[in-house]
Amino acid sequence: MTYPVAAKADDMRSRFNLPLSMSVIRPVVSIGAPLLLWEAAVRLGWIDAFLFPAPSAIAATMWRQTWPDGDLLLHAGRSLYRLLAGMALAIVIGTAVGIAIGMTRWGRAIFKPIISAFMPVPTLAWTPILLLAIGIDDRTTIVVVFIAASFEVIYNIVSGVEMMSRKVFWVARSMGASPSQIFWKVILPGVTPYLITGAKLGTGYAWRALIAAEMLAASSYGLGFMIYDASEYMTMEVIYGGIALIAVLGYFIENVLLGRIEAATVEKWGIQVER
Amino acid sequence: MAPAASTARPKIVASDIGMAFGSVTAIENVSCSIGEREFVSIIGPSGCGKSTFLYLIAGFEKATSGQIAIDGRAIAGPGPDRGIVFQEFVLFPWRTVLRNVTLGLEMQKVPLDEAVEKARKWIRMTGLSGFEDAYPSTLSGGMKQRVAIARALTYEPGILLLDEPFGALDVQTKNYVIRDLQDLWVEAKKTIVMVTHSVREAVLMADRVLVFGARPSRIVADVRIDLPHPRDAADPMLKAYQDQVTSVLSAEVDKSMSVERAR
Amino acid sequence: MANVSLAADRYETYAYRIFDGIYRLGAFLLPIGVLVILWEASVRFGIADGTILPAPSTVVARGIGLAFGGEGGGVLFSHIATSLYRALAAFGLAILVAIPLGFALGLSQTLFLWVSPLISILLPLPAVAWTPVMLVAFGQGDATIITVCFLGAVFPVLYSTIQGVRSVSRESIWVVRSMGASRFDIFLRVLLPASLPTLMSGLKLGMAHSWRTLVAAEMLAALSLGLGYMIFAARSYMDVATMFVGIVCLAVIGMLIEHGIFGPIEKRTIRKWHGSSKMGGDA
Repeated sequence: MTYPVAAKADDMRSRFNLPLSMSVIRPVVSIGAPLLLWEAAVRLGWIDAFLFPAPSAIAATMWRQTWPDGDLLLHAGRSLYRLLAGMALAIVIGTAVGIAIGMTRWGRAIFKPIISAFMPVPTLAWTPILLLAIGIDDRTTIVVVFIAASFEVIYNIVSGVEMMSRKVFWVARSMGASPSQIFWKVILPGVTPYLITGAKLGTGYAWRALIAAEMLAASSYGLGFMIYDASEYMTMEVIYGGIALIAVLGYFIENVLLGRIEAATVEKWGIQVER
Repeated sequence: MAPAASTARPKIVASDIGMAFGSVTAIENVSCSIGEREFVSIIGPSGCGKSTFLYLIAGFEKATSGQIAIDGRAIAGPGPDRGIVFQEFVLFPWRTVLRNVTLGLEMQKVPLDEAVEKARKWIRMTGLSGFEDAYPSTLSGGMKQRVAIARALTYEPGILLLDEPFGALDVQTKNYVIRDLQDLWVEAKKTIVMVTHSVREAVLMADRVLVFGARPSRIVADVRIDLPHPRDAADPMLKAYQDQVTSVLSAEVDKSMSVERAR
Repeated sequence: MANVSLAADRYETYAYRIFDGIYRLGAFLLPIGVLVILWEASVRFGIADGTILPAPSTVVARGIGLAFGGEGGGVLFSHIATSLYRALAAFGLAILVAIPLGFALGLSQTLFLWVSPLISILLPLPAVAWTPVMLVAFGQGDATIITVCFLGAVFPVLYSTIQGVRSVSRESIWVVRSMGASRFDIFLRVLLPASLPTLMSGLKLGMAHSWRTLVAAEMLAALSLGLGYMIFAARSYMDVATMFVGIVCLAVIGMLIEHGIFGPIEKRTIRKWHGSSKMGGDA
């Protein structure tokens, strides 16, 4: 009446003895397998080759767009430039505004409602106004990025300042710190975790808004513009290739870049940023 | 009340149990027999696998070798004959105290009003009257543990398994809950297996103390506590048993510590 | 005796809740009201340029015109209704697909490990990027818009569902198994409620993404209706007043969704169970 002797390796436990190669194999298979399936489906004629060109064709076209005289790098570079410029503005101005608002109780009472009223407005809704005010220009898209990101940054920093314990300031003041010292040595380091979290979230929204704005603002370069333009000419390979690049760049910026920064600061300092 | 006779019908029989996780062997060659209505305490150094053994009895894990029989039948997974109380309470935050306690009976398709009546009895016995409609997040640690105990007893399993039930409680609450648990055991007449790291608790409450050794663990001592219940913490005989168990335990703790250091 | 005092207590809490609600609403609206007044004043006195930032009075007048006015009468409501229809259809579809799939992936460790890289790379992808594909496939119109918004909502909901399911402690499941629970019992009584908090935040996020994507998609692919379309089309007439009417509508709807739908649901479930907005509990 014995029950079977089972030496089944529990997934959870064996995970800790994983060879490093698994953490590379899994993503490759996970993303590669559907692509292979797609390729096979096109070659076997299961799906329409016009609407769903084979990944090999997409890769070939994208390569041609890069080298020797393609515009792909120009498009990608322009999008990234706009993102960077907008984010830089959002971080600098957003932090300043956020701290200013957050430090005083009436500041919060006055501005928090205004911010929460405008935050749910999709950033794209501002684009037509910006187009009228600025025109078809890099500045329009940069402002779009700025709007998308600064809400998150400001909101998070205001929350952060709110949460900073008064006692931290008491300690600093009892050490005789001047206001400028308090700003640089107490406030700024204190809000940094919230700034980083806000930047991470803001980048996500910003990238989304940017791509959409590039489609609308019909400027001459940018990944959003590139794929929208391709839809007018129905060059599907460029569209899919563009989508893939947008996905990869978005992942890289949000998870790899900012994720690393977050790990190196927020998590290491053991701070729980409340959302 | 006299201690349960050792000739009582065996309720739980473990035969040559071994448990390995991958390349790590937690316990090996563990055999014991627990009689009906016995209160057995399992004690041992940290990480020695005593909780693992409890989970094997509960049926949450399957032993890699050997078998466990309840009432003569090999177990095949968890079941309503063995109730469980965890150190971290594991209450369901979306249910009130009352509905947490009726959960077991609900599982057995008992009509709700009947279940509620039975639950209220156990809520009263565990001193939770008045808190039936409270949500667990509003309760203190001691009360949460009482809810967990009431929940495990309400559907009347024959065996109650406790995994370090007082670990998350402060000293004062702990003493109250210990006393309540002893009274409950007398009243409810169940077989109880309790894992603990406190010699004092083990000796205070149990009829037998099984001492597990350092990993890979075996049972290194089986100490019978021949004292009537309820026990007096100041009893010198109790202190003697405590010292006896402690010396065995310390030896095992030293062993496991030196193994750790040798790593 | 006890009944009277109980009734009095209940009255007290109702009255308190009403007053508290009024106070909070006031504290919220006052700064906005002040902003509106300042804005109006600065346009009237020529400080701000009325062509880019029209006076609130102009916006309100245009809003009324769009809602009830003569030649284009009622058109505002058609725009709002169309947008809502599209958003809800997309979101509804997303839930139907993502939640069962999320449970399946959350429960199977092997499936999860092999599929999660794929999900991770698709998650940060802006859903608008799919618009060109849909435009070629379906042309302008509802099909394109709803599909794009669906794609915007489905990944956040899927991801949170998976996370929610995986966060259920094995001890919670053990507790019910030791009570003799069937698989259905485990699903209904443990998995579903325990994963609810994470699931809810995923739903909120999915709705937010879907709504934002909607506006963009409407600007690109709508034929004649929708708030996004309305705002974008007004560009050709330099009609900033209409644009702001659209923006205000979007803000109001956004707030209504957050506080009118998700808020009460959260209050009755998550906050009641966990005491605060934090994830607490022992399960």
